[in-house]
Amino acid sequence: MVFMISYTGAVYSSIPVTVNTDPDVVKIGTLFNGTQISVSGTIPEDSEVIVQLTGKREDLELKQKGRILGVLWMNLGSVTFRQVPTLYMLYYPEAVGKFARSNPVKWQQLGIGLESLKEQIEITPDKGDKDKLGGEFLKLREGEELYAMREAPVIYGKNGNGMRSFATEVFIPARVPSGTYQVKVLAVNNGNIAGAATREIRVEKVGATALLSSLSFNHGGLYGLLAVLIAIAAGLLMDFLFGENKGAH
Amino acid sequence: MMLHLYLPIAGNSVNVFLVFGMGGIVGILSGIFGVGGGFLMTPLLIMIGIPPTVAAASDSNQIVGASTSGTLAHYKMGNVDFKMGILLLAGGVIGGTLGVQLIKIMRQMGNADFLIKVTYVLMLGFVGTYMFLESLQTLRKKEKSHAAPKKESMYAALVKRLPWQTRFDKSGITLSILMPLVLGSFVGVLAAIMGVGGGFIMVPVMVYLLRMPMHVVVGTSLFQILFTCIDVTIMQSYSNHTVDFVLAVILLLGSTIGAQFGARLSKSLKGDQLKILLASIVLLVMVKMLVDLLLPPHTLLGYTGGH
Repeated sequence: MVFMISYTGAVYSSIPVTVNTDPDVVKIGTLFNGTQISVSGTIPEDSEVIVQLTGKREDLELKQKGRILGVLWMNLGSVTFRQVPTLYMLYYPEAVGKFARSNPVKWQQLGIGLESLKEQIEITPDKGDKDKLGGEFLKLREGEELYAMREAPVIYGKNGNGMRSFATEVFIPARVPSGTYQVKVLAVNNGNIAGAATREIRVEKVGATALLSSLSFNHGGLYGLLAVLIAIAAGLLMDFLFGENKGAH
Repeated sequence: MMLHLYLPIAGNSVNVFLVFGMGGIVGILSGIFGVGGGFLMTPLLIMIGIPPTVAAASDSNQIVGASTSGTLAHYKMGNVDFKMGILLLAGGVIGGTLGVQLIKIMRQMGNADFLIKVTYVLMLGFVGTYMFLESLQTLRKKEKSHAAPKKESMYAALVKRLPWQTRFDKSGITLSILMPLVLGSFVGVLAAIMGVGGGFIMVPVMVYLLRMPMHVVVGTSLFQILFTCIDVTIMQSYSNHTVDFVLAVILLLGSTIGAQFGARLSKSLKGDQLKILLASIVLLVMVKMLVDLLLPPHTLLGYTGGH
């Protein structure tokens, strides 16, 4: 599948960028502990690849901590971060990392990465501390491994016709919420975007995991009752197995 | 060995052996002291990546298992006063309902959470210090012999005058049934406000206000906590869908076994030794909460539902 996407009004010459993902569906089962997705495709041969993975955007309300009486920390109020993605990952090869470090302005102009995300975030209520709060928000998400920027190994190959192939792996953390995600591949050449393509992947719970989730949300009372009964049964069982076997008095 | 299981409600995966071990340790504590262990377990679960509301609700589920196991073990040792326990429970239900209404009012007034934390720290500090000093004193007194007869305190005299006196065989005391009902309600209100099982308050109440022997306190407290947590688990599951059964099972496999060993350990400790150890734990928890209030947090932002 090939898409043409334009950035800030620029129009590309018709060099198609292609992208493929394997798997297309991440299945969360009982033993799920995060997984790797292979991202591969073709880009113009004089460009480098950047892979961006984003989740759906939603409003997130968080509690903000502050100091009172100069001594005690407590929750001072709520802050809503508007339309922030549930997941944000940016993967790029060493060459791009070097470029970003030596050309910070050009990198910023690309509009990708966590710094750009921070600038784009809207926060309500706006008390003029957006930069600080944005930074704290990124820290929170990075701690959960839901937002990350990583230098990753990319394998390039020669294709001919002015194109080269690329292949890399993106890590999906265990915390990933179920839903659809956009895998966007950007071909960059000296700070300019030479082409892009997008593919959608899905993350969904399967098997017993899906069953338990559904039971909990749709039949909460029954689920709770079962949970209690099983806990009691386990208590009884352990007493039988490990308890002292004198008669009760 | 690293075996991870995915927790469907918590939305994260955990190391099975780590969680099983956590359950085991908290189970031992509950078997020795008659507390639920939520004060320790919930923060630990949050540390390993479980959302706070799911941590609290799933731990409640775990406590049902551990306290079943613990109550049975203590029952066999003659440590469960069912009569007292049922009266305390009845009081607790009344108190708990009152407490939930109080919370509603407090929430409308704003920043209830902070008030609750400060109250908790103060209560733990007071109770812990009192228990610590009292049991220290008793342990010391036992080293010298006492010839003077004990004077009856005003409190004891007052208590004796209450109506509906009845004998509680397991505890070896005679009390008005009003005592456990009223005190149970008091604990219930506090437990609803502070969102905890109440073991920390119930145990000192039973020791100092009901004058029950420490070993019977442990067993009866577990009996109490069992029913409180059955209620909480079902309510949380029904209203908030926050009970993660997979998490609860891993935890309770550890804690039900731990409770058995805890109960056995408590047998080899004297009542006053148990008291002073519990008092030390209470004081440690208080210090930890105080430190949390005073030190800058890791991030200034947090998810709603934290404690």
